Amino acid sequence: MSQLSHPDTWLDRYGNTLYRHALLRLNNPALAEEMVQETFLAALQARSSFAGKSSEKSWLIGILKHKIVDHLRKVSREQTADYRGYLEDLPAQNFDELGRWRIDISAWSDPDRALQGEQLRKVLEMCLSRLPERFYHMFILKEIDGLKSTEICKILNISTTNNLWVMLSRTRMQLRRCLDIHWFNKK
Amino acid sequence: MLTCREATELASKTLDMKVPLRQRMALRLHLLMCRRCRNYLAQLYIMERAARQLASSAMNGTQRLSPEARERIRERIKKAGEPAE
Repeated sequence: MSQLSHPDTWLDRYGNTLYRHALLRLNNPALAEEMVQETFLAALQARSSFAGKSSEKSWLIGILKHKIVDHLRKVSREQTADYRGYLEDLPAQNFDELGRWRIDISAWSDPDRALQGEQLRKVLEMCLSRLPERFYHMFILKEIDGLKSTEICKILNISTTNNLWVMLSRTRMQLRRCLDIHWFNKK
Repeated sequence: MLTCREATELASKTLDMKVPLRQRMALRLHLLMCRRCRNYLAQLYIMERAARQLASSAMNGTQRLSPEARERIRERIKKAGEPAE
């Protein structure tokens, strides 16, 4: 059984770790800071229920994950603007009336080497940060947190899994184009 | 016969769910004949792998809480912790 260290030491030990975790998921520094604070305050309250089954760090990250999902749920509930309009004309830009490509799609060479380097990831981060919030969150929940489609729909208030898959498909198409321009063509 | 537009959507779907066999076969057939869609799917896989790496590279990143945020949080923790001491 592990024991909790004194709360005064949490910030120095885990502050930046929690901040980085939140920043990747929210893409918003001020909000990420707020989530870190919320996490520490919730952890203080829940101190007595820490069972010592996990490390202090993963216990705190677990609390942070809940806080982030709660936040996403809340803003998604309040969201009245419909997502469907966004990226809607993307397929029409890429395909003709018969559904054939209008543009060439040339292969990205040597993916294994690219994945070992940093450049591809950096450009992906840049491309992701250009997405509207909702699409950003959707992509992160799916590809980084590995949540199930039904869970993502519940959190982001998306009516059907089929809608989610269509949105993900457009998001990937958009990201692919961004990577093609800013990474592949500049190599 | 699938169009490229349909094939790309289906290709994306294979990353999200278990696509029924019939549709998988239709996609495979299309890919056999379509270089662009083959490249497209390969790029989806590359993006998927790169995205997974983001989590660990972000944790080893250099972003830090700003000094102001740090101070603010420190104060809040101290305040919240006081009655319990």
